[in-house]
Amino acid sequence: MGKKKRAYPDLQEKLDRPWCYYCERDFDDLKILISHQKAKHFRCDRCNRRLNTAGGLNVHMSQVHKEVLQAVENAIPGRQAVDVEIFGMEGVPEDALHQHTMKVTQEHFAEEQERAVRTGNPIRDPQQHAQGQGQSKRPKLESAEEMRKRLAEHRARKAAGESGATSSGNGTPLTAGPQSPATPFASTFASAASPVAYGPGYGGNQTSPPPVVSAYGQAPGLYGQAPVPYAPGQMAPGYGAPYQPQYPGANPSMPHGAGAASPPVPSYGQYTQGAPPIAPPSVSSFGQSAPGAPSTTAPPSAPGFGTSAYGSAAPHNGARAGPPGLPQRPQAGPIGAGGFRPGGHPMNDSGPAHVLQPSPSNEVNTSISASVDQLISDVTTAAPSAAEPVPEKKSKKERNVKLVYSDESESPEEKLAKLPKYAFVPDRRPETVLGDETGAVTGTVKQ
Amino acid sequence: MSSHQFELAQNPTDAISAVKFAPNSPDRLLVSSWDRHVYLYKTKGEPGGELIRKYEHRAPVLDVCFGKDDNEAFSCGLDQDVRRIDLETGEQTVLSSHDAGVRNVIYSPEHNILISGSWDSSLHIHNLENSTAVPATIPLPSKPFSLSLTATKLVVAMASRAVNIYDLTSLATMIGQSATTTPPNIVEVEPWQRRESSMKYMTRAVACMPNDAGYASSSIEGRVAVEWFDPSPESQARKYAFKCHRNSVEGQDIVYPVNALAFHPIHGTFASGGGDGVVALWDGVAKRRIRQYQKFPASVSCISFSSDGRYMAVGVSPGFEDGKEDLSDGVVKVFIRELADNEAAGRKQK
Repeated sequence: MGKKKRAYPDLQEKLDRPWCYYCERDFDDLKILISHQKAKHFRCDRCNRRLNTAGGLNVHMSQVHKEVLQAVENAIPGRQAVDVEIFGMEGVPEDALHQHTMKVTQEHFAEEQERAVRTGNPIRDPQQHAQGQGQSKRPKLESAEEMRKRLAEHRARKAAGESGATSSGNGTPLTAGPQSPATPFASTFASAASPVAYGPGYGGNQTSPPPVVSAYGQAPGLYGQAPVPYAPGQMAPGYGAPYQPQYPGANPSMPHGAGAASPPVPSYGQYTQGAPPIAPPSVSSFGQSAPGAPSTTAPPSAPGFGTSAYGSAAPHNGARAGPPGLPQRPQAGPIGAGGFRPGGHPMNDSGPAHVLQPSPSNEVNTSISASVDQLISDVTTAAPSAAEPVPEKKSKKERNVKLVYSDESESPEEKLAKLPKYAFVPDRRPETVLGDETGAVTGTVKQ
Repeated sequence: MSSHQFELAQNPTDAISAVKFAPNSPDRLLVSSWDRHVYLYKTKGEPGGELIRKYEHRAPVLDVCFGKDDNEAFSCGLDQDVRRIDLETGEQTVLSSHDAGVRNVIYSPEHNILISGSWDSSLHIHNLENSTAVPATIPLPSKPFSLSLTATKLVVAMASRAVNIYDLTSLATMIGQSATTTPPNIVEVEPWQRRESSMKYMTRAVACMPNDAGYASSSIEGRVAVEWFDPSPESQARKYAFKCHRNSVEGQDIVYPVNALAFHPIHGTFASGGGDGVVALWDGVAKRRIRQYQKFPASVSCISFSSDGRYMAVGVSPGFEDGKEDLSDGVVKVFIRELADNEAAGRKQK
């Protein structure tokens, strides 16, 4: 990190801070902690002398002031014991240490989650993720390795695909088969995936933007049967249109990096279906282009595009595998959080992914979508759970105050006076008066 | 000079309502209690102090104070009477009777008058020069909860957060003029100042600065306010309040009433005693806490400094808290603390 100090320290930094056993306050460094302890906890209240430890203070008080230290001052309840020798961070009992670690960790995650909810940002940077690994993040780690494996498979497949497009075209439906929603697509795609179908659409598309439009006009006809159910809900033609021109231009420069660079590729396959350009489909695009288009598409398409889609197909995948799906998340979070998941995913899963991509990429998709799902659910579940502590914290500050005595009109003495044991009946005076003299005087003065 | 603290050996058997040091001898202490007695101690001499005498009353005693010398005392309590006690003979004389329990009694040596405040929302001003005169009754807007005076002023803290400040000289002349022998001798007196407490909750205690500049008051909601008599805007701008006697338990602030306030006669600092059993010393000018003593075993109900400022007496009794039918069980004790030379001194002004 370039910055010296991050705005939000990570967990380890927090855990590393020295803290005071007696009051749970944490400090920038040990020296300050020690001077704090001397001033707050080990100071003699008779002569203001600052001792180094509770034991030292005890000895001092008993020798100098002839008093016994009963409790460490300003300590939180349960930590007032005099017999625990604490100096700085030394001597802190194991259980207190553990307790503190737990507390800091909990607070850290609560804070983090709250911040995520507040800012809408993902919970952490990837590397920090790796450090402050929570259970919820584990799946993503696994997928990294898997992805690498998949990448290798993919490469192999690509190589195979280049050798014979039909074979891969055959392969895809098979893998897609198990997933029922995919099957109708698969069939349409299988037909579409045939060189004939691809040829016009793809070749035209990529060579020059204008044909794309025509390709569009084509596409609905081509996929007409299948996309229809999706198209109305998910995608208006207008939706695709603005994107479309954008992508061919954007692709070569690859401004978005792995996540963003890939959408262009799927965009073709995808747009024809009327699906929005979402990250996951990109994965499929590789598969798609791999079987159908490699020979045809790559050459005509812009060099940049070619490299992005094919030459760098591996890097893409690699990139995705490295921080698995992480760069995509920001996109997924804000853009897709609400609407994208329900509509978009089935589309991706069933559509391009299954049909065009062999099973491993399916998994990529699902795992990514799963992780996205998880992220979303993380955030959404975090929202209420983080929302709860927030008012609590507020109330701690503002409202959570318990008055030991809260009557506003009667003093404690008045209440006490009403107790039967203190009852006094003025009429019985003469009998209760002590001594004759007083009684007599009472009488005279009063009447 | 070292400091040490000890508890009286023979303590009252029920909650302590007041502790008062004698005006002249620093080791003579009066203690009034809900056990219907007033106790006179000699704190020096025997370890744990010596109980000189007990004075029995008909009802719980709510306050006690010394009179013109160390042998005269005044007491008041739930029997609605204000009494004079001759500490030598034990003779008790009823000076006046209120229509409700009498919470406070206070003696002004400068004017030789005795003021008592009762829950019947009145003050009785007793002119001790003229023992035959009927005490003047001053109606108050609310029940008085605490009285404190300086050489010239009387501060009455009442319910409804009202505070009246009377000029003692005019009070003294007034009762001199209105001396009658026929009760009721009700005198409407306009206070020198009428104020509203600067705290939001019920006023619990009030104590005047020994230098006659102002007073401190405390509320049931762990807060102490320091104010000045001087009505000029500059002086009024100096007033402030601060939180104290609170305890944070699992994020919840437990707020205790501040039951007792007492100014140190020499240093002008003051002590506050709270329902949490803590006594803290404050420098009201520097706005600093000087020190806080180790927790007492129960709620602190009253504090008194000896006239020479060498001793501090702390009355500790179980507090009466919300949701309780009775006094909680707890320690009833009087602690005497011998202060080191500068223990109660404020910070040196730098």
